[in-house]
Amino acid sequence: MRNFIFGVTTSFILLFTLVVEVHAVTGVTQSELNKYLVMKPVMRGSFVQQKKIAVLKKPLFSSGVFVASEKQGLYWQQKSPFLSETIVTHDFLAQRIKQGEVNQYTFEEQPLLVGISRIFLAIWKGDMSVLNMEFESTINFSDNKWKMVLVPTNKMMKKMISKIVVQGSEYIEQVRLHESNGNLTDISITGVTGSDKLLKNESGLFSWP
Amino acid sequence: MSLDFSPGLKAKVAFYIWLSLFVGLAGIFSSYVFRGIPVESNIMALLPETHRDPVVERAWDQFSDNISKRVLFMISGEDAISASTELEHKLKNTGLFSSVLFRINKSSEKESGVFYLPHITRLLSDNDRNLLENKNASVIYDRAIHFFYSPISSVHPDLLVKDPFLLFPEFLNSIPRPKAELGRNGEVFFRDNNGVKHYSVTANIKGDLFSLVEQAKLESVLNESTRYIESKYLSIRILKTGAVFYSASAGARAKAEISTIGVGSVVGILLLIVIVFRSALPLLMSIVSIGFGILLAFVGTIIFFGKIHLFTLVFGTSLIGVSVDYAFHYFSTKLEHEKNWTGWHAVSHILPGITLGVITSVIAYLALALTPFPGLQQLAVFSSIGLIGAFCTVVISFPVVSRHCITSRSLLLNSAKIQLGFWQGKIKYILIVFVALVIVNIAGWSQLSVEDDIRLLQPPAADLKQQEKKIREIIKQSYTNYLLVIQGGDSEDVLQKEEEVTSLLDKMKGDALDNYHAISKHVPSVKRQSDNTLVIQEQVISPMLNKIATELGLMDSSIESIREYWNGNQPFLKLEDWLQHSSSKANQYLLVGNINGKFASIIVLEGVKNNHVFEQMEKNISGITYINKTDEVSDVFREYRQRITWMVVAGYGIILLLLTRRYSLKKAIIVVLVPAIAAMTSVAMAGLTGLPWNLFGVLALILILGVGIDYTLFLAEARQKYESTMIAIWMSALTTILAFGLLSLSDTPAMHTFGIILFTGITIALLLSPLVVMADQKIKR
Repeated sequence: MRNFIFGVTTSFILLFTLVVEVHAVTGVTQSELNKYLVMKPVMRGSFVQQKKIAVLKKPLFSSGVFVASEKQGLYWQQKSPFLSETIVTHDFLAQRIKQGEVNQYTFEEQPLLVGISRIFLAIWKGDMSVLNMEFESTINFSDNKWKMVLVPTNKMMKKMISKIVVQGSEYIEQVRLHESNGNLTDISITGVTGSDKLLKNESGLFSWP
Repeated sequence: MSLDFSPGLKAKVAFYIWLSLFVGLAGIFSSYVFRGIPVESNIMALLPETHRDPVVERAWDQFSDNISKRVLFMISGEDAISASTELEHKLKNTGLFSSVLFRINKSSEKESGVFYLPHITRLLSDNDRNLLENKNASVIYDRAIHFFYSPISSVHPDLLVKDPFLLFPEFLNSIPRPKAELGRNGEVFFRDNNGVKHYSVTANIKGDLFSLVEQAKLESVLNESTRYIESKYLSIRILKTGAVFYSASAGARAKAEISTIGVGSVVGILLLIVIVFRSALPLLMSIVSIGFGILLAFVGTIIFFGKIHLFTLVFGTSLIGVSVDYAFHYFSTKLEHEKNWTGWHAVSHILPGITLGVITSVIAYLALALTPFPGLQQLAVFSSIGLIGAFCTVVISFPVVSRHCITSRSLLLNSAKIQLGFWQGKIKYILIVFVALVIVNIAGWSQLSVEDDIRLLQPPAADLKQQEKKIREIIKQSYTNYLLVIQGGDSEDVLQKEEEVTSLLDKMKGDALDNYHAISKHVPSVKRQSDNTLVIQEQVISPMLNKIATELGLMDSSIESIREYWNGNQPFLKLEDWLQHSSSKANQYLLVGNINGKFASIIVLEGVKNNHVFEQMEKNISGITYINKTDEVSDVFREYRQRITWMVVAGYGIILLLLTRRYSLKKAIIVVLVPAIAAMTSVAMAGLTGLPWNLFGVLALILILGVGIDYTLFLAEARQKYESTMIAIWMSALTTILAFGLLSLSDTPAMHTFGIILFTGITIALLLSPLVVMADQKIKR
């Protein structure tokens, strides 16, 4: 009886999932990176991406535009070979294909996926405080160009990413993601411009999720 | 008055028979104590047999055992990790826990992926199954293509050549998981709504936790550990919850109440008896008579039923306690007969009164035996035997033992005289009393509210509830006291039934319930697995493989191997294999297994908001049982309350009929009316004071009938010796109030109600009892 009554009031079922908790180590400092990299509250540009996957005959090419806002996150619009949009913020990841159904994942639902998205977001923001928690970072300068190499420190991350190489001058020009399974994602950025706030025609881009 | 009732031979023989019986019973009782008393404490045992299904009972026991042994700590603050680590070690070192968990092996996530990997062709997420059922395969195609092109996705080449539509990662993501996160070294933590991290340390108590002593010991170990950690790491905050804290708190509270209320009533009764009778003998003799009654009742009940329920012991003992009145009447006769008093004289004087008293009380109790509830039958048998035993003790042994003992006049004599005077006085005042009673009754009954809630038995524990609420907010989990028990011939049968049920539950999520936990979400039935393979082949692989291969530029050899892979007969995922795997550990409690040739599992329902839906589901689908233990027990309380109420009413009727054979109708009515008014008014008082009406109030009504009718009966049989009888009645009422009325000071709602109702009822029965005298005198005039 006693057990029963209290059984009723307290019942917990706990299972556990895996999320990588972040922890800072030293590396490239924010001010080092910012010697060259110009950070504006809003930046936009075009990208060309090629993705090499071992079992495919040729790389997957895609291209489009992006808008990175300090406040609202990263808007990534692929225009070719088909239309798809992605929004990455600290809290969620939202996707929609061909203006169709919206798939949205919160950190709680998809900790791994949103966790990776957070790193992607940090790269576009040039946010060393986030990157230094997961990676050992080194930077090289030549002329007005820089090249930063990020190597995962965490076991879990190492299983997915072998290294990330980010290059640029005033703005980011190239991101190369080397996956541990041999895949390579190479993103080239062109035509970057910065502004203090979103342009009129850009404000709608973040509103669909 | 020179009748000489000397102890004849028969009386002596009777006494020695009684004495040897007493010794014999004491022997049997102590042998039971030695071997372990067969006490039943499961409240469900009070229900008629047909209500219970052994498989369902086992399922519930397994579930409640699993949760009642769990203790959870949530630690936040700067040094939370070090504090949690130290707490983990401290708890482990006590040896009181079968497991203590703070860190989790990080590779377990990967392991669960590896575990499902050989069964790729057999698995499909619910979402994707719905898409395919609705012929929306193109959504799956688009999603895969998008995924391949996305900058933030990673597709392992090995997976691509088996599952190009990426159905398998979707399935893995669809397996239910809690909201916990893991730290750098596998520390388990949850984030609250403000983003604050709370590290969780969970412990499972080793063995069974039945005794209060063990619970108290465990609680003190737990509290000592938390206090130590808190004093060492000043910045941290610890929240804790677990059944053991509640039961230990209830135990401590019960202890405190027993030592104040219990000691208060024992001391009060002792003082009262010693002051009134100026002797310890009446006290000792009362204890002997009640003791004999309880022993006889205990042994008789066990012979009759094989075991005894806790409920019977608690309430039955108090019903037998009523027999203390017989001793009071016996000794009060002495107060009016200073000289020539002998025990035999006393017995002959009180015999008609107490005989009627026993008969009416036994009728009141036996009325309970006519109900189909085993608990009430047992209670009736126990109390009746006990009362008869106590009666025999008074009649047979008292005159032998207490021939010459007490000599004093009583303090209560004056109050008895005043009270008798009032009822023999002006009719005007008596009418005022009755008008007042009528008003109180009308006002009280109209405001009476009923509440049959299990939580009546639970003492308040505000601090613990607050902590539990906070923890639930942090881990984002609602109450999980509701179950569906799924039964079938074998595990496949059960899994298929679960799938039928969960498809309904999915539609009700966020509406009738928040969430659910089911084994079939981890292991689909074989039928579901083979259906999955078929539907994927038909709607995804056959029509779209070439298309996706072209779009992605898949190598020709890969296309062929994919086709072969899906045509091949890949192994089914088996329940046994899942049970063997470490990732199933946290969910194994969902499986009940084989019982009596049947297989059973449970689906735990979280945050149920609409019982009706599940009751309906139980009716519509065979082999499923909805368990809502809170409501079920409340239902038991409600049924008992209703049954006993009717039985009490019937008891009054039967006693009235019986009394008309001895008294005039008018006198019989008055004898019954006094306890009836007392009972009615006590119920009205509950209404007036806003006390919710429940089973425990009704149980007090049985006592009011059993005890209250004695007051009027003894006065009716007093043969003009009203004053001494009235003193005995005062003694009886005061002891009853001291014994049970003080329960009204209890914090536990059930005890509180019982005490208040009893106190009111007994007081009114006491004050109104001289009505009988009035009737007698009117008749004489």
